[in-house]
Amino acid sequence: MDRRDPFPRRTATPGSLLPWIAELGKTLPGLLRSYLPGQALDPRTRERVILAVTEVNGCRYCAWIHGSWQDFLGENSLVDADEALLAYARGSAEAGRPLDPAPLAEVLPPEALQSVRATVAQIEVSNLVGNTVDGLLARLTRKRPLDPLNAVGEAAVVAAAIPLAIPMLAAGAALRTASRLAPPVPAAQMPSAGEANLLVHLLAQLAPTLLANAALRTAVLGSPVVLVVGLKAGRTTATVRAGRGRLALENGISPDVVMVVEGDVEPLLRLASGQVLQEARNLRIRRP
Amino acid sequence: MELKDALAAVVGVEHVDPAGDSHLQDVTENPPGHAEFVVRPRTADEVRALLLLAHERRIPITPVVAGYNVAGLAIPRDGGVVLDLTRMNAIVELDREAMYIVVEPGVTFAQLKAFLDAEAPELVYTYPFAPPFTSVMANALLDGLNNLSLPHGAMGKWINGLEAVLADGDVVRTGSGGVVDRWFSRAPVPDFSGLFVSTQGTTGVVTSIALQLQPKPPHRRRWLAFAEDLQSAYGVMRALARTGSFDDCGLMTWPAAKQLFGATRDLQKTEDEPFAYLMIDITGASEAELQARVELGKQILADNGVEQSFDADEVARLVPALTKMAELPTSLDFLLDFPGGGLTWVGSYGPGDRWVDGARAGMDLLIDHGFPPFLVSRPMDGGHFYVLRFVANFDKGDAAEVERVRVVMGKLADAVLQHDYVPYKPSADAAHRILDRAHPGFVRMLERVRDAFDPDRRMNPGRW
Repeated sequence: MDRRDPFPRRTATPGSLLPWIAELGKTLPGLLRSYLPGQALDPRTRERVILAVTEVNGCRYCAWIHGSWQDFLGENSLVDADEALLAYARGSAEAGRPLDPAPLAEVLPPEALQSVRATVAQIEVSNLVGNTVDGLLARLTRKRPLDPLNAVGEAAVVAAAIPLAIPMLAAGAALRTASRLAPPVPAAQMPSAGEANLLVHLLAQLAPTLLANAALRTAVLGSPVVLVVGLKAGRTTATVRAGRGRLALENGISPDVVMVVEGDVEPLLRLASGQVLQEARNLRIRRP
Repeated sequence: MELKDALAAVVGVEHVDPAGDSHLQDVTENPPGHAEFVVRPRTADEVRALLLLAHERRIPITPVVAGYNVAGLAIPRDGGVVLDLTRMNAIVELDREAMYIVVEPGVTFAQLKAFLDAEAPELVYTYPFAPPFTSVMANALLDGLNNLSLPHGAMGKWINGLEAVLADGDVVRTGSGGVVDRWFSRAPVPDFSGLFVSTQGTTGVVTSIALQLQPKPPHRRRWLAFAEDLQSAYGVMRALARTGSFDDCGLMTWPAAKQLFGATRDLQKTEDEPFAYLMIDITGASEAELQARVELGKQILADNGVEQSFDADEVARLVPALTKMAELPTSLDFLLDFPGGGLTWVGSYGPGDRWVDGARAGMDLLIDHGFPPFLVSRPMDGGHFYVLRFVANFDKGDAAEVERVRVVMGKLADAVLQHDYVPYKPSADAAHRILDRAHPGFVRMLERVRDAFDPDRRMNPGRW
């Protein structure tokens, strides 16, 4: 009789968890920092790392939660998740232990490196626990041998994880709902291509990226009141009208703007990379 | 034997066709030409056999590869045979130690880049804002300007030597490869390569060419900067060039940006928009060298009143309209896909101290004739000279507009010459204007060369 376990995924056992718990112990500040404002690892890159590890481990719960998170944040072509970074994440997941981070140290600053290591360790633990749920379900439905001793151990892991898992699943559901309810980015109304100034053209092309985040999109485009904001990048000026599902751009600062955001072009562009809090420091807001 | 049969006997019947529209006209305002046949040789031996045949029968020969010289230089003006060299597309030799490559006429920029990326990633060639399917050799022989022309000069300077077939079928070689079997330099033998540079195919058909490669620095930064007027734009270009620390400083005036974002007609500049855009390439053999150059560049921009600069690669990834600017070679679709399909320019090389006045005069001419003031420029060869290129898109189906563009291109050729600038890749019209102003000794020298190489004036007739 074939006594091999037909469940194909790795689950949480003391042996599988130990290297990751140890890694988390060493890098915990990096994990906390990756979820705080001013993070060394931008949220979209963090989610890509998480999904890379999850893809290797095959945890459907984590894939659902973090897929929801990624949808909520939106696609952003500026986030250039370094292939080396994703290779480290995938390689560690495949090895079942954290790999030597030295190659990453050549391309990442220390704080970002610590956040990557912590993120990989954290999602690895989550994947193992998520897979354990499925492993236990497979035992209970007789798709794998019941093996009472191991089943009890897995049940203990699942019970311990429930207080964390339920809020995470709820958060995933909330993010997914928010993404679905957020209005799409409309084509910007603007002057003719020959008449529109450079800033208007740039804003029209940046709009899908600037409004990629579902919460921001809902707040700006879903607003019942049209918000009228002036922008001055370098010497060039534009007016943005957003709300009621519409987006309109004009040359110059309109008299009815409620505020004018001023700054160099670069901070404006970097806003689109999701680094809102960092770049906000480089912009000035004044009354019209 | 009928001409078609004689041509087919050399290259095979499937490579001889009646000359069609694609070989009789181009994107410019130059009128269509006429020719009997298009023939597509594959080897230098076939080229030699074809030129011997043409010599015996006194048949005009017009060589062409992609035909995107934007000056009507490959339009057959005197009938005869169009020699389409696109099938001769072999990369003959790569010498990584002496840093050169030998290519046939049909090798394209896209092909060369792919080859170098795979076989010699430590080396790089230099690329124009020309479509990737255009010819590396034609660009070099026509002495164009590329993205490393600031440190290394116009493309004729990159030629280490060549092999060509003359009008009478004689096969000649120039450069070090004419003496030993290595094409490392044009020195120290008598420099005959220049006989084939900017002569537009009138001295012979080049069948292979040795071109310099450059080391590819591992660290790179690219800025996009805004200049508010001609004087500050020139100040930046001059200062960057004279440090010897920068790879490129390409300038385009505001109509380029409008067209890049999809505008075609009725282009208007608002008061608060930048006047010109500068693409500045900075490289370094180490991160420290790159950083030192970045700091130097920032200082130069600030000293010349250029307040705005940012990472062009980042912008290119973010703004779809700019994506194609990120990596060369690339097609500038906004130039090639203009409604009506017309594209032309007068490009010229000249001294820096006349740049501002020359630029202003040329842009005024464009405006006076109903075209936006579209100027392209860069410092060349370490700042020894500069580019003034005035660009116009137009509707080829609109006869009045074609006439208007023909008139303004003639006036632009005169205007640049009046400012001590000399048109490069000159159209037949511009070439006449050059010779009208040239020193008699220059004209006599050109005639003597042509008498020696092509006494019947059968080689790319109508040029010079």
